[in-house]
Amino acid sequence: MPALFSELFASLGFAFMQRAFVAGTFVALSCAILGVFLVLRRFALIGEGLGHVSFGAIGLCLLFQLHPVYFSIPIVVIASLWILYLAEQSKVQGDAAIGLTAALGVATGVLLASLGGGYNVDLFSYLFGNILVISPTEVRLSILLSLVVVAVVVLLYHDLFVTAFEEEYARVQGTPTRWINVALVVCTALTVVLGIRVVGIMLVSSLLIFPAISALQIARSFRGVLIYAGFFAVFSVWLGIVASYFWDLPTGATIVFVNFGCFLAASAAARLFGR
Amino acid sequence: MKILAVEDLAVGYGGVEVLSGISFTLPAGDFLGLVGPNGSGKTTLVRAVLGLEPSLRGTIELFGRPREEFRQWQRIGYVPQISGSNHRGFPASVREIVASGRLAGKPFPRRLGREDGLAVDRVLDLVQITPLAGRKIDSLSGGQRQRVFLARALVADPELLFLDEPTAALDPSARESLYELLLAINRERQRTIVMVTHDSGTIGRYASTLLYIDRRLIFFGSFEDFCGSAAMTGYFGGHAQHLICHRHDRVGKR
Repeated sequence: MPALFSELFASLGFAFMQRAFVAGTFVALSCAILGVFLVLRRFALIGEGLGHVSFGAIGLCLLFQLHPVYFSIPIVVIASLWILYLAEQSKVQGDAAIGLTAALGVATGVLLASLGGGYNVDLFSYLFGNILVISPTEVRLSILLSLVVVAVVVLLYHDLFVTAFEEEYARVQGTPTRWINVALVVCTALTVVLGIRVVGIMLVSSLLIFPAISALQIARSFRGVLIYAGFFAVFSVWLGIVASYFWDLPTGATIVFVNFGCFLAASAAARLFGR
Repeated sequence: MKILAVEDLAVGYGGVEVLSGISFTLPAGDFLGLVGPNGSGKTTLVRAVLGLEPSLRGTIELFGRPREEFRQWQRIGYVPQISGSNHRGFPASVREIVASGRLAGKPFPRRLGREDGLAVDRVLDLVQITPLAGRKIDSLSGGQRQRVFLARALVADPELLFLDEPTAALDPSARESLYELLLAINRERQRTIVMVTHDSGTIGRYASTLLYIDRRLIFFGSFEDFCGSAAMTGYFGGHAQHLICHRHDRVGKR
C-alpha cells in the first residue's frame, strides 16, 4: 500500500496528471450541480442529446480545421436553445425534442466523417474522450467556463430551485422562468462540451446524471443534494483518473464505473439508514 | 378598494372558449368562495387571473393595475391544486419550500436572509407544522403537504391569497381546522381570500361572497342571496339548493 501511495504521488508530478485532476475537478463540479437541476426537471437526457450534437459539431470543426472545443461551444449552445424551444411547444415533448436533435447531431457527424475521409480517427477519438491528453489551453477553458457555470448557479440559486420545484408557482412569484431555463440549458451546453474531453461524447451525460441521482438517495435537503452531488462527482473523477492510470484503463469508462459504485453505495446507505 | 376586478373575461385553448362572460370585483378583506362543478373552469379562472393562462378577451386588474403590468407578486399568495404525483422524489425540506415563498418581490440576485428565516419560523408556527420543518416534502401526507403550501403562500404576508381546492386531500377534521385558520387570516389579518372548492355548502359557512361558475358566470353575491336566488333554484332545482343551503349557520357571520 505505501508503494501504491508513493507511486500515486510520483504520478502527480506529471503535468498531464495535474491537468487531468484540475480540469476533471472543475468539470465534474459544474456537471454535478447542473445535473441536480436537470434530473429534478426530468430533463437529464439533454446531456445525452447535446453530447450527440457535439459529435456533429466536432466533425464540422475538424472538417474545416477549426479548434474542436472552441467552435463546438456555440453550435452546442444553439442546439440547447433549439431543444428548449421545441420542448416549450406543446406539440413536441421534451424527450422527443432531445431525441430528434441528438439524431440530427449524430447524422451530421457521420455524414461529415464520410465526406472528410482522413480525419475519421480524430473524430472518433472524441467519442470516448481521454482526460489524460487534455491540453493546457483546454484546462484553462475548463476552469473559466466551470467558474462561469458555478457563478450562474450561485446567482440564480433560488430561482433555479423554485423553478425546478414548481415552474408555474415560480411564475406567479415573478420569476423569469423562461430566462432561468435558458440559463440552465446554455450552462449545460457549456459543461457538455467540456465533459467530452473528460469522458467522451458517449458517456458525457453520466457526469450530469450519476452524481445527482447518487446524492438524491441520501440527501435530506436541496442544499444537501448539491453538496453530495459535488462530492460524488469529484471523488469519481479523481478515483477514475488514478485507477485508469495504474491499471491502464480507459479513463472515461473508469470514471463512469466509479460513479456507478457511488450510486450503489448511496442506495445501500439510504436503505441502511432509512432515508 | 378593489383588489381584483375581472371584466368580461374569456379564456380558451386553441381558440375554443372554456370560460366566457366572467365579470366580478373583489374588495379588500373579502373571502370569496369560487364554486362550480367539475370542469366548470374554476381553476382556469384562477390561473387566468394569475397570468398562467392567456385570456381570449376581457380585462383583469390586480390592485388597480392591469394584470399585464402588475409586478408586485409579493402581494399575492397562491396555493395551487396538488396531486399525489406532484413533487415525488423532490429532495427539498419543508423549510426550504416554505422559504421559497419569500422570494417574490426581491431584487436580483434574490437572496434569503435572517429576517426571512424568522418569517418562516412564524408561519410554520401559525400553520402548526413546526415539527415538520426538517422533513422532506415527498415524505409528507397530502394533508401535511397542503399545509406546507399554505405556509409558503402565507410566508410573505400577502394581501390577496388564492387557494385552489386546498381541502381536497384533507379529512373532515383537518378540513374544518383549515377553514378556521383561513377565516382567522381573513378576519384578524384583513387578508383577502379567493378559495376554489366543490363544496358549496361548507364554503358558504365561511366565505362572505360566492362566485358560482359553470363555464360562464352563474351567480355572484352573498351566500344568503345565493340560497334565496330564484336563478339558482332554476339552475340546481329546489332540492339541491336546499341541500347546499340548509347548513346556513354561518361561522362568525359579519
